[in-house]
Amino acid sequence: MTYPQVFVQDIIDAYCIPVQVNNSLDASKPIVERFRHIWTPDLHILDGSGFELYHWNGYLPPAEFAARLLAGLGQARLRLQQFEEAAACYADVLHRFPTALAAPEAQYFAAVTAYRKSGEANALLHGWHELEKVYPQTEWAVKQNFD
Amino acid sequence: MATRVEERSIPWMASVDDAIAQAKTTGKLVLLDFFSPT
Repeated sequence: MTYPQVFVQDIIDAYCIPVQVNNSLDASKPIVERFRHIWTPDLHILDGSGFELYHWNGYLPPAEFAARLLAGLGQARLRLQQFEEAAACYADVLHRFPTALAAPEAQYFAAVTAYRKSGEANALLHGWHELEKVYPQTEWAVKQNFD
Repeated sequence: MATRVEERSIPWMASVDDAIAQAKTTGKLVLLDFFSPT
């Protein structure tokens, strides 16, 4: 069970307005159609206008869920150009959950965040060098290797 | 006398639009979870 874990609850309390929708109810049909919901677990991160900034499907055990949620919150803050908040989320993933499945993504976008915040190419290259070194056999290491 | 430890739970809202409105005023992000009862 993921949600009873205190460290998962702490992340949700700190950063999220949580809402659950029972997909089996007739009353849920408009929301199911609005989000093109098709399969559970189905998690979406939305901003204050209802715009979707991140999404994932499938069960994750507590530590993986926590890392995925923080990576998603980081992505959401990055897309909102809230670079300090994005950097804090990614740093949290890399510090607390460095072996999680979401960690390489966090390392990739931590570098993007540093670059977008500073405009310094070295910030990007340094972060991506770390990605290649720490998470070499991952999709995100492939994505940063564009030469 | 033993101290009773309160079990915490996540304060899930039931309305997506209410959650979005709350996110707008608090600056937080909405976590929307579709579930299927088992």
